[in-house]
Parts: sequence; C-alpha cells; structure tokens
Amino acid sequence: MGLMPTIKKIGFEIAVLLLIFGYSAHYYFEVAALPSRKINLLLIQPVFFVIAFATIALIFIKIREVLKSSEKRKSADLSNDNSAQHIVDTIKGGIDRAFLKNGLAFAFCTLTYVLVFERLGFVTSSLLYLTVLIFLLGSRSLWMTIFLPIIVVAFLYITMAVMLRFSLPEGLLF
Amino acid sequence: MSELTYLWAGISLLADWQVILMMVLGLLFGIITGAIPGFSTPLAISVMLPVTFSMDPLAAIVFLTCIYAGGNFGSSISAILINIPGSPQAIVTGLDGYPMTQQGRGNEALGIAVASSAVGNLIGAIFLISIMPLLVKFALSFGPPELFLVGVIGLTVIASLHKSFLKAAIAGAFGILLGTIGMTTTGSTRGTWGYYELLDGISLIPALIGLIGFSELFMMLQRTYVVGNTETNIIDGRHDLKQLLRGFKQTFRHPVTLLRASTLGVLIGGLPGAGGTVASVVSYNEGKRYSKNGANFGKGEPEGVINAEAANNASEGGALALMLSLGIPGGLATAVLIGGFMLQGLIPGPRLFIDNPELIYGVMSAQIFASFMLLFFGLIVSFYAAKIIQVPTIVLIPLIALFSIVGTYAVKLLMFDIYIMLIFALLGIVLRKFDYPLIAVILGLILGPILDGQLMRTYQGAGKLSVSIFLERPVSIFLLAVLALSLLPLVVRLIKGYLNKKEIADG
Repeated sequence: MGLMPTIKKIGFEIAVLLLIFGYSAHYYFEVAALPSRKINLLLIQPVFFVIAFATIALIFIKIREVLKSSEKRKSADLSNDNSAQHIVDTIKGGIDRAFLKNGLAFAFCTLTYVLVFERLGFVTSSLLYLTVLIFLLGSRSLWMTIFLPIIVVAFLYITMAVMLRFSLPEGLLF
Repeated sequence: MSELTYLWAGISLLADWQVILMMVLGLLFGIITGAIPGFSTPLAISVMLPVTFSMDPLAAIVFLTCIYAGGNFGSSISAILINIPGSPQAIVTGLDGYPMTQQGRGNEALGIAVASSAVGNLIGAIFLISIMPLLVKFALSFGPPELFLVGVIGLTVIASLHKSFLKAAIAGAFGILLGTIGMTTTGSTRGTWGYYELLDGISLIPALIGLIGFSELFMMLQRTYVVGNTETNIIDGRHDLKQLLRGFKQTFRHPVTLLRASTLGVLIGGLPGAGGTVASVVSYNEGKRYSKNGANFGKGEPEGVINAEAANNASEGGALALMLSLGIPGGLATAVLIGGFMLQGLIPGPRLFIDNPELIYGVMSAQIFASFMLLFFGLIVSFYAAKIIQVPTIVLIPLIALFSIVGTYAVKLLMFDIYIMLIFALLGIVLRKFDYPLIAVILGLILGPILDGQLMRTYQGAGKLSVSIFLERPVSIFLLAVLALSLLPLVVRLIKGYLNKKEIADG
C-alpha cells in the first residue's frame, strides 16, 4: 500500500478510536456528575481508564506504523512501482463502487422501510421493501421480485399476526 | 417415598401420548424458530405461553422446556450457515461453524452441532436429576463478590480470541459501558439521553441483531452467494446427507471434549446470570487451551463447534436446576419459563419439590427423552436448513433483513428497538471494517450489568471495596485461582509477542 492510502486508512482508524473514546468520556463525566458518584463509578471508572489507556497506546502504534511506512518508501526505489500501484488502486476502486452502490441501496431501502413501517402497515411496507430491494440489488426475475415477496409477507403475516396474535402495524391494507 | 420412586413415578407420567406429542412439537418449534435470526429462545417460549394455558401442567411445562432445548440447538443453525446467531448463546458456535460453511463444510458443522447439542443436553439432564442438590448448595454460597468474579472470568476469555489485545480490550470495555446504561441500584439513570425505553438498559436482542446480523448483511453484499461468488463453492446437494452424518459421527470421536464442555456448561449454567453464552465462551476457551488443534480454533475447527454447542446445551440443565430448586432464573429463557409455571399455578422453588415431586421428576426426565429426539429431529431440520446457503445473496439479504426487523419489533412491539438495532448495525459495520472483535462488545454488553450490579452490592454489603473482600472465603479464592488460570495464556502470549518483536529489532 502506498503512503497516502496508509495515512488515509490509519486516519479513519484513529477517528473511530477517538469517537469511541469521546463517547466513553462523555458517559464517564455524566456518571461522575450523578449524586452517588462513588458507587456509580465503581465499575465505570476502571473501565473508562482501560479505554483511555488502550486508545492512547493504539494511536501511538498507528502513528509509528505511518512513520515506518514512510521510511520504507524513502529507502526503496518505487519509481517503477507507481504505475502498478495505480492499476491495483483503480481495480480496487471499481470493486468498491459496486459494493458502495449495493450498500447505499440496502441502507436507503432499510431506512425508508423503518420510517414508513407503522404508517403504511406491515403488509404494504414489507411488500414494497422486498420488491424494491431485490430489484435494486440486481434481480430482474418476476418470480424473485414479485411472487417471492408476496409469499414471504403472507407467511409472516399468517404466522405472526393470525396464529401468534402479534399486533403488527396495520396501516393501509390489514 | 424415596427419590427413585418419585423418579419412576415421573417417568411413568411421560407415557401419555399428549405429553409425547407436546415434546415433539416443542422441539420442532424451538429448532425452527431458533434458526430464524432474531427469533430468540426466550421469545419462542414467550409466544407459546398463552397456548399452554389450557394444557395439562406436565404437558405444558414439558412443551416449554422442549422449546428451550430445541431453541438452544436451533440458534446454532443460522450461526453456522450465515454467521447470524439466532440467540446470544450461539455466537461462539459461529466462530468455527461459519468458517466451516465458507470452506464448503456447512453440513459437517451442522452434524457436529446436532450430536454435541444432544450429548450436552443429555448430560445436562442427567446432572439435573442426580447432582442438583449439591449444585444448589454451592450456588447458594455465592455472594456478590463471587458473582462479580464469575463475570470477570467470562470477560478475560475474549482477550484471547483476538490477535490485538488492545482492540479486544477497547471493544470489551466499550461493551461494558454500553451494558451499564439505564437505571442503577442507587436509583440514578446513566446514559439514557432522556429515553425512557433505555431505563432497563439496552435490549440485548436488538443490539445483537444489529451488531452481528445486520452488519454481516453488509459484508454479504460483496458476495453472490453466502459461501463465495460462484456456485462451485456451494455444497453439492448430493453430498449434503453424507457430510451431515460424517460430522455427526465425528463428534463421538471426542468423548473427553464432549464431557469437559458439558460439565463446564452444566456448572456455569447453574450460576445465576451466567447462562449459555458465558458457558459456551468459557468452554470454547478451555477447549482451545487443551486441544491439539488449538491454533486452528476460529478457522473452522470442528472441536470449536463441539466445545461451544455441548456447553451451551448442557447449561440448560444447570439453569433448570437453579430455577426449579430456588426459583432463580439463570437467564432470560428460564425467566420466561417461570411465567409458564405460574400460568399453571406452580411456583418454582423448594416447596415445588415437596408439593409436586412426580411432576418435577417428570419434567426433568423429559429432558433425557428430548435429548434422543433432538438427535433425530435436529438432523432432519438441519438437512433442509442447509439449503439456505444455496439462495443467492440478492434474495437472502432482503429476506434476512425483513425477518430481523420484524423479529426485533416483535419482542416488545417497539419501534425504538428497531432504531437501536440500526444504530448497533452501524457500529458493527465500523468495528468490522477496522477489525475489532464484535464478540467482545457483545460479551461486555451481557456481562456489564452483572459486573456493575454485583460490584455495587459487594460495596454496599462491606461498606468499602478492597482486595481482602475477595480473599475472605474459600469459594472466592477458588474463583480467583480460576481467574488467574484464565489470564495465564494471555500473559504468556503478550510476553512471547514482546520477545519476538525484540528479537526482530535486535536483528
């Protein structure tokens, strides 16, 4: 991996570490401000210190990785390697784009489904969710996009709402 | 009457066709629902509670305990095939079961899981009947310091499951913090952000589905099939049964592992709050330590599945012993089972043995018969369940997502649980991307409230917190010794790693 991708990857990794640490610190100070401070912090305090220590240690290790990677690049002759690295990065980018497209479709459909679940009702929203998502993920078969969702939703409705008497959201149809 | 007479009277009660039918239906329902991601064993038992209301007490209780037994095994099916455990106790099964599926040995793993589960269940049932009074006496001697130590022992195990100790420590500690969210014994609320739904803490089922299940679906998007990108990676249908039976037979070549894992499972299952998840984690770690193939654990090692499944199913015997004799639920499933007893006008506890000995011995003996039935029905359901991996991911992902969302909603009929599930899904994707062990977060989430509650009780009981509290009683000293043993491999690994690095640096 080249120097820039290494820095980028480690940058993201440190950002995740800082997010975890940030949430933990917020939680620690929230608990510390509570009336029975000593009792409430009995477990939280040592656990927070473990997170703080491990975060600092891991950031230190990651920064050292970048420095080592930089030194290696300087010492090695990489002029011939650049074109090959560029091709590898391009192919990788292509794969990531396909994954990104499916990932976005999945995230978008799931979020929309959850938001309209109660308003449209279980049957309508679930039918739409399955049909649209299976279509967006690449299936053009009538069986998979239309009939399968109908069978699955009907099965779930009969077992959960009719047989087990769960009160699923009713909305438009049922 | 002697204990043996009661036992015989209890067995005689099982010769009723209604009871036998309920055993079969309970097992099948438990296995099938257990295999559905998000449909946990406690949920399966709770949805059937109203159905048992009009039944005969023995048929009703046997039906519910068989759902429990079936669900314990069923949750391993989805853990093995799609790396989404139906219930928390199957997380460890997936560590080796799923890699086996990826290697095209999914049916073999299922065969191992069936045999290990049945043996674990059988040993648990024998234990339940024979040694229960002793365990009850031992568990009764556990105070808050001992229960805290049991939680710590459970936590130390995860550190040895990942190559980066620092990442495992962060993930585990973060899980503990998340697990302590909610109202404390002092009446204070922590980390709820004003949401009353979080007062009882983060619900485990939505968190589990999000962290393990939904994040796995995102990873699955990169593949055409669960086991790879081409059909050639998929198990050949003609060899399904052969592979299943091979795994089944293979299990019995490890009698020592089976016995050790089941014994550990029974003992840990008998501790309040520990349950099947801790039992399988501890057993897995012990198995890794003792096995010749310890280095292959986590890469598709059959012994890993045996250790996890035998302990997980045997823990049921311990949990039932605790519940039946003391009325203390070892976990969520036994808590719901207490509801089943109460529906029949029975209150679990010492009085139950005095008032209804035949019924209790009947319930306990039914577990032995259920173990043999599990061998048969487990194989049949597993055989058909394996077909799931032959479905392309573009269909499988939306279907699992739908089942998971509806399953999450069905637990409490709360949209809030679905939002929690999605937040944990996002967390799971990020943690997977940067190679943090998800099992550490989940174990922290489970053990966090136990550790916190027991530490607070220890402090409140003694008026202070010092090391001497943990050295006062032989039980605590015994647990401290187990803790030291659990930490030993980690310390050795850290020292070895340091020495290796030093050697490389010195040239």
